[in-house]
Amino acid sequence: MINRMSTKLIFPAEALSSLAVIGVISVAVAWGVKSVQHWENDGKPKRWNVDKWDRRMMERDSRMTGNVNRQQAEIEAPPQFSRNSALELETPLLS
Amino acid sequence: MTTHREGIFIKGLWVEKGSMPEEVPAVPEVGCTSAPLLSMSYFFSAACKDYSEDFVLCKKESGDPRHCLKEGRRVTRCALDLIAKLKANCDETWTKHWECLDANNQRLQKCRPQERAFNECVFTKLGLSKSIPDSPEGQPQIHLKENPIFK
Repeated sequence: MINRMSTKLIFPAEALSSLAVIGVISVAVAWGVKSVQHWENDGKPKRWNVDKWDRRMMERDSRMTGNVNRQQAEIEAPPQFSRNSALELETPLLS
Repeated sequence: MTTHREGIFIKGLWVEKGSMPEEVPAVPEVGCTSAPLLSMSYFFSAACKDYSEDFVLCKKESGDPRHCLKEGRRVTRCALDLIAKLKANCDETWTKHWECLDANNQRLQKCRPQERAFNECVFTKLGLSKSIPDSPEGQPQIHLKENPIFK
């Protein structure tokens, strides 16, 4: 018969080991995604919660600086800004 | 013909080859991107209020895009003037503020210390102060609160 009063609480290492594996993998994936986003975004965090206005402004930024995430604070825009656009050109496959 | 879809095999971006007609007055475009513009927007609304209101009133008059070219160019020139003044007087604090905005998804609530320094600089040098339109009367505005619960 088991003496219930004398059973000590031991740390359930075997049961929780799977949770530890899940946690480590989650943290590793989150860190990896974050570093890739920083890498492709000039070392800055990726923009999020971007609405229509933000998209328009990012389009304008890309026309001015060449990338949607690059910023500048000059008085006048570069001369090519008056002529370039964000309209993508594509030759139709079936013309 | 599809009306709108994303491009797949993109060859490049469209560049306009023609030029503006002679009768359209020429004006240089504003050379700031989104974060600096957001940073200076409240001072722009204070400094260029007359020109902006004039432009909006003109736009209400007629839907013809040729109708308000002069008024629009006045607004652009006012903005250019303000940017030149900011760069001459408060370049350091302004740069710090918009770089902070750029690093924080352009959320103003993340950059209050930098904003405070920038606002103070603009107020002492140019005499412009930030006031948020349509904020509740008789209460301190959100950028003036020391410890806001709702940011």
